[in-house]
Amino acid sequence: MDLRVGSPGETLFNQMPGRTSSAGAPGESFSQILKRGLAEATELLREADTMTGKLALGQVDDLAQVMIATEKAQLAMELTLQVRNKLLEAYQEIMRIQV
Amino acid sequence: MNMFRALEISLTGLTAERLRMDLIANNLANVNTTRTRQGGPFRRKLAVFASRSQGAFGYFLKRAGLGDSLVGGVQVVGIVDDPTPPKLRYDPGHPDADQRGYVALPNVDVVSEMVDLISASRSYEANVTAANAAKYMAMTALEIGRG
Repeated sequence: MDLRVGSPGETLFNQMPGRTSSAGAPGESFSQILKRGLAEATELLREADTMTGKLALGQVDDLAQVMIATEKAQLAMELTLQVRNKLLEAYQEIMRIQV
Repeated sequence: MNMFRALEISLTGLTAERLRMDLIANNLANVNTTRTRQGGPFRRKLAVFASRSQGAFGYFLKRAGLGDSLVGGVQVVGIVDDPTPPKLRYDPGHPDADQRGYVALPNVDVVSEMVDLISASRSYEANVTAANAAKYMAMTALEIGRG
């Protein structure tokens, strides 16, 4: 296992599904990493939404797949929420620095 | 480690066990079927499971950053017929009796099918428990920084 030192938000977003284990392109700004993570969370949400719709229409034959998709979407949302909390905390910490 | 991978692996287990349930239900429904499209009595169907880890190739795929979610889990590689010979019953009045008066019945044993049914449903339950446990672990991990 190789240790890679990156910002906390970066490594958190590397846990999203389908992500490679690389740390992202060098020089990629934090906002881009944030956007990428949010896009993947939205993707998961959209997939869960589509599957639930198909279930309501009776077009899906594997109920377990729908449930797992909704679980993944919920986990992604919780992760995004926690990341947002941490970012806010960090921001407030910095704003408290006396000039 | 991708925290969603445990969920996906459990999903493959759930799908495989559901397929096994379908086959068992099919076997039970056709326990007295003497006529099939291929000729002869119905033959008991079995599912063949294989694990989805790809060995060395999967390792290199993972190193390249691709195919991380392909490693782990179960897949159904085939549905085969049970090779045991069909049961013969002497019944000359039956429309499917052969010249000697024997009817070939499916090689489905109801008792062993029921046992397989229980096994499949318990395996399904075990996979659901594993998925719930994985989700619980991920949610608790998200609480590390709280407070």
